[in-house]
Amino acid sequence: MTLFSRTAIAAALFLSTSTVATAADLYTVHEDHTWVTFSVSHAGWANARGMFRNVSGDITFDQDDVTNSSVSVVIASESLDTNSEQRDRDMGGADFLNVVEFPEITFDSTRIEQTGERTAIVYGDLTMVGVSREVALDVVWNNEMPLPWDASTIKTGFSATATIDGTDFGMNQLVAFGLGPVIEVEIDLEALRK
Amino acid sequence: MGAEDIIVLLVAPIALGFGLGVVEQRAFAASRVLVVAMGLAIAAIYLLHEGLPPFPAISAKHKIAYALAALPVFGLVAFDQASYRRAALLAIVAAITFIWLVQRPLTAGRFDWGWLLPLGTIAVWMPMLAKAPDLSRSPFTSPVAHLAMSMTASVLALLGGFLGLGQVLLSLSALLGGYALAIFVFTLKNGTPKPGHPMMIWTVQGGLLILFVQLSTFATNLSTAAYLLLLTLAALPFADAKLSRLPLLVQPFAFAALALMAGIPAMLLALRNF
Repeated sequence: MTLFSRTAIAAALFLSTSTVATAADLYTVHEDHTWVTFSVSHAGWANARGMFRNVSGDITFDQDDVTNSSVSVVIASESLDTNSEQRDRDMGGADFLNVVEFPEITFDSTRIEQTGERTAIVYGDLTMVGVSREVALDVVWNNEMPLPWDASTIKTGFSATATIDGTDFGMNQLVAFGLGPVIEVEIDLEALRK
Repeated sequence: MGAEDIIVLLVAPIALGFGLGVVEQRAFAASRVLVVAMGLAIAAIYLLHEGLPPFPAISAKHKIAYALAALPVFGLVAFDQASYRRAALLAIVAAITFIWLVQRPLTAGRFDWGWLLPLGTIAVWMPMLAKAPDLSRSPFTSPVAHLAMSMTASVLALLGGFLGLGQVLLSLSALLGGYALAIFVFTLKNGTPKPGHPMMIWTVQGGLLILFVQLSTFATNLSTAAYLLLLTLAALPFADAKLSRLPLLVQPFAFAALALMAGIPAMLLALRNF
């Protein structure tokens, strides 16, 4: 066996062991590479869009049996950004997100249903403005690989969508102000293996 | 805004206030039933806009609904009491409401120095409230002054992002406008109106105080000076010595003008933040 082939085998072994996940691995949400966005009909004129800039959380991901996985995410409700400071202030008021009383929006998964090789429905409790409701996220597992500049750091990525009704969470003024009440949520999330 | 919204926001409260005024002038000038009816009217206005609260209450909006439901009880309990006892009872209601509202952020370890503003407001209002206005001398003083205070608070609420509360205060203004209109009509017809029971306006004061506690506790981005001017409006019912000498039919307009002189700067100061 030549030096080259021994090196190649060693490198392959190193890479394979560093990307293969154990039964259930722990991941931390990579805040700078996570986008929680939403769109809501604005009186039928167009869809108003926004995002939350401050998202954190943990994921337990079992690639062998995704139903054993779990997700726990916390969103700072005050980090809302709808491209208008005045609108952000109004949306953070008592009639909508009520950020003074409820500074966090949380999602904690309760069960996961695998629907395809890389797809699943994640059911969980979304708690917003003091009200908890079960929501279903349609999730796609996009990819998992080490960072190009740091092979010891493994990153995994997901995309998810969900549809929720703002009035289910007590935001009854949405309709009065021409918004929704149906809210389409789109999430792109990257997480780092601990 | 559709016709149904305008009816709920303005027409129904005006009609309700006018009806209360007519009943007061024609039948129950000094009546516990009327005082309870005023308390129920204020609570009903809130529920019409914000809906029935869940039990137990989750957010401040729900807690305020329960606090306002205590207004008719306050009206009954304080009906025959001296002014200083009424003021003390109202202070207790307002203080309990405030503690209940800040309980959630406080237990989460969040304290806002801006909360001292509603506490200071209550502390200043109470001595003023203890000196009950003589309604027989000027029946328009209190309704018009409180109407102006409610309208100013409505604008402050809207500017502070409290859209629902702004609508509630606007409807409360309409209720008081209808009430004052009934007194005005009877004055036109009979020369002089029947003096109402002071508890009618004390009940209105109680409602405004509870709503003001909610507004000032959570709308911390409003100008402090705007709140101080709102306090000036609260003094109007007690600064009527000279205006009461004006002809009776001129008095409501004089009080309204005086209230605007204090209310407009309050709104402009709040607008400065936007």
